[in-house]
Amino acid sequence: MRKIIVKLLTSDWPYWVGGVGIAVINIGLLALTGKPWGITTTVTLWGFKLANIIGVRLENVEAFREYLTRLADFNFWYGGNLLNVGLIFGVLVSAIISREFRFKKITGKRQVYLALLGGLLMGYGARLASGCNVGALVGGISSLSFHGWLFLIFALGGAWVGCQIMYVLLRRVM
Amino acid sequence: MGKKYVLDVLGEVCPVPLFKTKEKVTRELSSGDTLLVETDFPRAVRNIIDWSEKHGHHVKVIEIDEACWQVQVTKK
Repeated sequence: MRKIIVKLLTSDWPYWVGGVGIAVINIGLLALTGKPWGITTTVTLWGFKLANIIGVRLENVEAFREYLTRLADFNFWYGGNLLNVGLIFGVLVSAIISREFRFKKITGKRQVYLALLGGLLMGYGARLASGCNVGALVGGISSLSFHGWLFLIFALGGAWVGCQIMYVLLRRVM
Repeated sequence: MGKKYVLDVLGEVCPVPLFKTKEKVTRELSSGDTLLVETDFPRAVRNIIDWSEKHGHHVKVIEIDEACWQVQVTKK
């Protein structure tokens, strides 16, 4: 029995198992809370709180007006916050159990700048699209909304173009 | 015995380890040479094994440290 559990936890699961798992959990979440799974809207609220700590009041920025009601409800027990904290904690536990956890070496300044730039673009894009791969793609398509399919088409196109650019850059630095 | 080459991609994430492995194996190695790829990205270990097997290269993995692997690809 112990062997089977260890095998289950440390071996590579096929993609479809993950897909079915996400579907089942998302259905449960939607049934219980009335909202599909999302990540980046809550991350935006984290941004508000962080900005407040360093003395920046994003509440006054016109583009952020739509977050004010959510911001008023926000605390540790806010649904989206629990989901995000649970996500990070779950990934951490899963990595430790499967012995894949490790503090990674930073390969250089270039990696730091690229990571920051990538994060910035992802965050900006997620706000423009009102969601990320999770909120806009998974949530959109599963709730039969057309915007999920549009998101899929452009995300695939964007990923393809991004890969071509990356391969050219990688060949240059090799 | 073929020559041995080392590719250090520690700290790099997908698809960099697989991309660099492909480039090295197809462009720089001769048949029988071995590329020792050092990576700490679990997904990359999978990718490199899959790619090597698909192209008939011999592949072996050893764990050189906690969550750190050396993937040995011997060119067909």
